[in-house]
Amino acid sequence: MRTLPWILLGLTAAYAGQASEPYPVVLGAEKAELVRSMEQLKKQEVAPYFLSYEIVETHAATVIGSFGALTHSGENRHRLLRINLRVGDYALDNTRQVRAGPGALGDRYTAIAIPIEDDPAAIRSVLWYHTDRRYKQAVEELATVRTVSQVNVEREDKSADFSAAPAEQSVAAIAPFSVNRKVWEDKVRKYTAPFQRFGNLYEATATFSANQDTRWFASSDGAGIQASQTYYRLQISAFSKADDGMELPRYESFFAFTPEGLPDDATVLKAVNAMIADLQALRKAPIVDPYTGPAILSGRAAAVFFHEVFGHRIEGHRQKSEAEGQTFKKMVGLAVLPDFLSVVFDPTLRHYGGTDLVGAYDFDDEGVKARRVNVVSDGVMQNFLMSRTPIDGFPASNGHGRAQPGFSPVARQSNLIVLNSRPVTHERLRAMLVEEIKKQDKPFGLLFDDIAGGFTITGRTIPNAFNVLPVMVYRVYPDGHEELVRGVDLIGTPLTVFSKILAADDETPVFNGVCGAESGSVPVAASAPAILVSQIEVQKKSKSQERAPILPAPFEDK
Amino acid sequence: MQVRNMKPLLCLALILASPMLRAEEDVVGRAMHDEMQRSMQKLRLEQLDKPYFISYLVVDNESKEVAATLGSLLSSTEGNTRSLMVVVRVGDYEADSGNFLSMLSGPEGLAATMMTGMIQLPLDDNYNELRRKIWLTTDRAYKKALEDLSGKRAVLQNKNRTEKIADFSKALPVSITDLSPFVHFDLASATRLVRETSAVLRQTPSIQTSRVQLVMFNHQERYLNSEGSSFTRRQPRVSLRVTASAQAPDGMPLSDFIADYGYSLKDLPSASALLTQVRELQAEIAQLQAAPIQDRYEGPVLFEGQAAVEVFSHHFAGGLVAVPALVSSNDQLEAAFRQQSNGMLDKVGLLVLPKFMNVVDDATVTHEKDSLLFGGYKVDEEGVAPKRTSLVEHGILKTLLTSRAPVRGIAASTGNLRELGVAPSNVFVSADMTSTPEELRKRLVESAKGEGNAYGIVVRRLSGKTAIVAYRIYPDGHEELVRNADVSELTAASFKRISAVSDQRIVYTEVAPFRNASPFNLNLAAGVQPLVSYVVPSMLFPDVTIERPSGESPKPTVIDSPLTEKP
Repeated sequence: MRTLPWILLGLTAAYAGQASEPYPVVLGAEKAELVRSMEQLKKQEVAPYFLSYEIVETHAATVIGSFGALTHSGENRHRLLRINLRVGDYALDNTRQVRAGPGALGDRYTAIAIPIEDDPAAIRSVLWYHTDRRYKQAVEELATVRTVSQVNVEREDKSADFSAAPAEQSVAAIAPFSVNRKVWEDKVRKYTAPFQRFGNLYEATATFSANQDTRWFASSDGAGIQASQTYYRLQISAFSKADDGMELPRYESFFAFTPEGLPDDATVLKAVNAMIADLQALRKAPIVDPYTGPAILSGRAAAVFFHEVFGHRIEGHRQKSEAEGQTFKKMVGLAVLPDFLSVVFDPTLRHYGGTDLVGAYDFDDEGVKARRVNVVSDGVMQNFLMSRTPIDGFPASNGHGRAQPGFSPVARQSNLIVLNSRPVTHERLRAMLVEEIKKQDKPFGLLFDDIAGGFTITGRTIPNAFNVLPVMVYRVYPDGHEELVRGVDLIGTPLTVFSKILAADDETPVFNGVCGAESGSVPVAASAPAILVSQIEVQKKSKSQERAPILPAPFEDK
Repeated sequence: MQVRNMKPLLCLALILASPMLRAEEDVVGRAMHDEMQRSMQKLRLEQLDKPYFISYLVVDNESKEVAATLGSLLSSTEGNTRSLMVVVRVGDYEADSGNFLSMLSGPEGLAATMMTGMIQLPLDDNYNELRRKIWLTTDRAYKKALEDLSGKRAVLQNKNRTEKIADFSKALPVSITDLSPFVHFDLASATRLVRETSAVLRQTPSIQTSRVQLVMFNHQERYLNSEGSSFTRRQPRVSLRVTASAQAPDGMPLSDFIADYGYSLKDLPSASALLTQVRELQAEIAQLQAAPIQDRYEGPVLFEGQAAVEVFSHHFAGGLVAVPALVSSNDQLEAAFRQQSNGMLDKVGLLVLPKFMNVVDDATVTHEKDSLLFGGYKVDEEGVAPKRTSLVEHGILKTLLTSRAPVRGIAASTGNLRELGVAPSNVFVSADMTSTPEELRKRLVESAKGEGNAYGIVVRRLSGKTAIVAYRIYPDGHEELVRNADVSELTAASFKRISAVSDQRIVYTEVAPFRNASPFNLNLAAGVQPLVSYVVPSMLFPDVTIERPSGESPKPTVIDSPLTEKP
């Protein structure tokens, strides 16, 4: 893994060296059709003021194993087009959400298939047809927006509908992509084989996926960007049920930019055995009672926690929609965290704490150059994650307009890093927890060692509540011994939890994952130190009504 | 390829003779058998009902797909799946847990109902893991069946049932093996074919979108039920579809398609025949763009060729199928499903076609003269061997097509439970009295004239209610193309008044119009849309309304296609 930056540097250098390299065909086709469309549509009564095309080629290989057997192995390559055509002007255009409701979400996804061969005529023909349809739709939308805006009360947020951005030019190299699925078919069998022996495990899968996304973005501003990103991912999940029917899941995932960056078999199998041990222990663990008191969130749990309960709330467009909670809108310039904590989002960082960061990219999906954004500095709220949709006081994008291919971008997270200027060792943090338990005269404190969120379970949208699922939680007693518990549900609001952070340790574990929201699934990373919170509130999790299977597993049925 | 009742020795011989199963033991079959036996013996929750019926269907599907537009590849996909569908019934044949939809859990209840019993199985023949999945899925399906049975009993307590119909019919145990050869699909030559075929349309910038798609799959099903029935059957299929769309100068959208099916690649048209078909499609669309719009016309209409099949399948064939009405705790849902459940059940014994017409459904035939039929099978999805079913005799409706879910007056299955529900197989429409095509056209013009129309209308291509290709035929015999007319006010009742049919019949295959009262028959695991082949004569209807499509057309494109640009 340590050699990674060199490999990437090597590729970039190789491309730069070939000055005679022809301009990418897809980008050329986009530009030609874009110029022609703008010229012709200019003559119409209502002319577009902005048009961009983004074609994303996804080349994906997926191999899935379950309990030692192969369940899926496949590969596919396709290209999807997204058109951003705007009529009106930056201040008010056809994209303004004037009617709340589910219809708005449906518009976010359009799967327009583009030929996967570099054939300019075929590509331009599809661009032309869909630009025409999109244009007619935009003209209709603008008429509605203008009418409804006159009728409705004035919006609280007076910001414009779209912001200008510098026209970037960049052609990055496309790394060769080839995956030996046979090798991975054997690996996923091997990784899930240890689960076989257990009749009380009802699901145990290992999913290997290799993904290369190559994007070609061209806009009427003159931008022309070719960017390519390759990810390799191994996800292992298993679940059991307690005798009372409570579902008990465990997840592990590994991400890297190269296949070599993924852990070796021994490391994966060690994780698998830990999952098995955890699940068997969870089945026998006592159920937690409602509790309020001090707790530690491990670095891994804190990273997921920050991503879910903080990260999603500082995505810019959420401050604009009147349907959103807007938790942090009025907090700019105020303390939201203790003064020793800062939060940055840095898509330019490819590597941190010895791990690849999958939330890295050079340009976002609106053609804006990636950059580091200081969201919280020394505890004080500074900024939001911005796409090209402005909000009051934040008129420009900071390179966080992101989307899954086919979706319209909104402000999304990249690499979230929680920085600690007053670190203590992990041992000291544990000692502080025990001190806090004694100080508050509590019978025990809690240690959240692992939390799952929409972060780890892909494809789920994020409601405006704690969307975290504590997976591994321990009671820590005043004498320091630990006891695993199950059925813990975290409650409360992020602001109150943040105000109760007492200390954080000096570790920087990284959590790589896929985050699902209204612009689809995007790869993101998060890193945080373990944090000690003086007061956290938990309740019993509601459990599934379905009991465990009636008959024992076939191989255990004597 | 043999069908026999309970002759295990013969079947064993056949299995041994099949190339795929010879070399290795059928691990999947053994896992299905062993878990079925255990479940029937031991699966019981406390003092509640035991299952009285369990069935397992394991579907192996290998598929490949290539698609292209304008000579350029759009996608190329290959995949292998193995899925399991478990049905567990509690209660008894008279009154069981089936055909009930609980709405207690809202719309999610529907999804749960559809997904219960379905799961992906390992592709590897790993006995223990196959059994683990079958065990867990049977367990869930059993618990769901118990819930459904008590829910259904509660709902029925509050209802006066006028008819007493059993929930599930008995069927003779069968053991059937149908191992048709798998398709050998060469991806490279398929890719070349879709590229070359789609490239033809590059010369026609007025065609706005087009696509050529070639799909191949090898489908193998293994079935086992607790009554002792079992089958293994293979369905290889190749399908090719070409679509093209354009706009007329006034903006009216125009589109047409070519659909071809085969059991192997050699059943499809040759590359050169296909190019000819695409050029014809191209020419047809160009002619349609220049053709006039048809204003309202009321009078005789002759449906020829594909249009005769489409009018029959769209307006009549759907009613030839019956499924029992759904029981639900939600009255609105129950009413909604009831509307589409019984087809023409009330018309059994009554005249539904002219006295000179007959309709037969027959899954056991494979050819009509030299043409292949694609609706046939040796055994249906419930292990029932199909037979020839005479549906309409001399105009009188005799019976309807069913599954093992009985409906009023039809106690046994006709063997028509297909992959996505009850549907016809191969449908033969015949007549005791026919005319030549020329006579039919003459008769059309004469009766049109008799009603004061200057011309009669013949529809030659139909999609739903849109007459894609229709002609005015004038008394002097000349024909004039009209574009995109709507065929309206035509219902199943209109078929009684058909005045004449042709002596020649067209063979045409379409995707089945399946009908389900409940989502239970929806066998999503099958993952294939069943085909129905029709053998239908041209049909002259005395009184049909043809009119311009309702609604407004979009404007023509603002800019011309980039394909018009000179390089």
